[in-house]
Amino acid sequence: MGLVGVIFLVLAAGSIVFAANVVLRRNPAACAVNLVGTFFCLSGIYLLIGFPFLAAIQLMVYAGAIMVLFLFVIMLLDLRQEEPRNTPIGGLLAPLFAAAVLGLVVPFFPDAEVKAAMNLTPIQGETASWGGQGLAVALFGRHMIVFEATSLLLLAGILGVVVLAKRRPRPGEDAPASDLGESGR
Amino acid sequence: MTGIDVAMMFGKIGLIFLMVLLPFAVYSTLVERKVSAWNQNRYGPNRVGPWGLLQPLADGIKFFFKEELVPDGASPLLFKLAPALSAAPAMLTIAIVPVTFPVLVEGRQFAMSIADIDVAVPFFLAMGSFAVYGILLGAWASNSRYSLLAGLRSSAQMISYELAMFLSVVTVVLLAGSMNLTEIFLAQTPNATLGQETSGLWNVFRFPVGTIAFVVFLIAAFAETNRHPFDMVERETEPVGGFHTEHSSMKFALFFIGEYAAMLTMSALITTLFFGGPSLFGLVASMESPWLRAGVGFAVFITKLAVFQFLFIWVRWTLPRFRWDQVLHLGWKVLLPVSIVNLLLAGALVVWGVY
Repeated sequence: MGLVGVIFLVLAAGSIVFAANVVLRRNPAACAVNLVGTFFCLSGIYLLIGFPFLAAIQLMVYAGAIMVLFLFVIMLLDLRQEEPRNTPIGGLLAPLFAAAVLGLVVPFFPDAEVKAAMNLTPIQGETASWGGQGLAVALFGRHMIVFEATSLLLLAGILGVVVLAKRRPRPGEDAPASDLGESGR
Repeated sequence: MTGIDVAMMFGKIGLIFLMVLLPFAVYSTLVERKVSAWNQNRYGPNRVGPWGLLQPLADGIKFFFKEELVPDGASPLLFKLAPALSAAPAMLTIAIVPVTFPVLVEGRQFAMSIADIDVAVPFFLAMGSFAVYGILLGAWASNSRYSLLAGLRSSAQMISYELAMFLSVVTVVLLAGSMNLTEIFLAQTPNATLGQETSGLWNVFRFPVGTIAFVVFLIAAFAETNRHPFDMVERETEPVGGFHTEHSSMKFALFFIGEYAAMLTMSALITTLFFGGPSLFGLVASMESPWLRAGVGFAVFITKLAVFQFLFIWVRWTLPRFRWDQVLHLGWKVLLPVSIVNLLLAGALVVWGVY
């Protein structure tokens, strides 16, 4: 195992520890910071398997933009009290479910890809030259329809959240309570 | 990786650390105080060493010996981590900036940036968005309302101006046709000996798109580094000191150095993206000896860097601060639409072959 192997092990262990912290910590801001750590480790792994552009985009979009918004919202809500631990049923079910999914999925992986991932050989062939240009050509050329469909999926997700989160007036109440508080104009 | 690679790597790190990062990040504090003094008809620091030249050293010693306070209810790890998080991205970004022309060592060309990567522009943008974390976490971890308010308003400002900055950088990428900073500055160098056919015009002179992108980038750079007139971080006219109110001793000093390192990074990127980096209208690039070219190019680069660093300081002591609503108005309703239209225009001009 060379230097690359050692770096991979450090990154992999780091990403697992950070990810576990995201679930286990009770303080929302600490969870968010740990999630940033996970993204960092993932982007390092992308670098190792030869996708520098993807690594940079991972840092920029997920760690840089999305998590900043998460933190922002957490701080605006000012959740100072740590969440109490609730009934452990969900906590027990989640790993079981994850293990079941993993057991179902892993046998169907193409063997070569798993081996390539284990040996950390940079992926060969057409995708090997995926800097920015190759990615752009693939994304906006061959996979254009998939790309657009994904954005539709995101739109549907946003609409769903809006519908779920919208506060409806209860039968007794007159007007819906303003989310903006007293200063809402 | 051979011995030459390793030697070049350490040489470049040493050069950039000793000649760029250290003097500009540390001595800028002295220059700032001197320039502010001259602007206000004072002398400025002049007691420690000749002309006060040892003042940063004295400041450093003082900061090391100050008492370290951690407020009650602060989140200890994040509170201590925040200053490092605010200084690290700016210093990391210096690694991608080419400080001079590529040099030839034993028949091989070495680009003169610490990390000559093809994804330099996305890397810079990623590091730019990381700068928010230091402020946001430092503010939140101090368990203080004043810190939190200042942190929220300054991070909101940084998020708003990031978009305009991203778009103007993408405009430059379109003009240069590359995301590698060495190639971007070589595209602004009129010279045949470097083996490239280029128009050789600095991006700032590529009217109209380059000029507009430069103006947008400059304004956004002031906002991103939280300098006047966008000083939402400290607001020195207000009685409480901003997001680092609770940070004392070396932790405060690290925030301080981080601000100057961010200014340095922005100056270096303005130089590279819009003012041709180390090139000077082909005068430097046409030199025959590669080592002489690299040396003179480095001097030219440092000079341009110093000019923009001075601009940051000059503006701070000249202009008053924006009101909060004016900051957001400028960011979202002026700079963002302008940079989007500018980007579309640049794309059209490149496709039509004007550039």
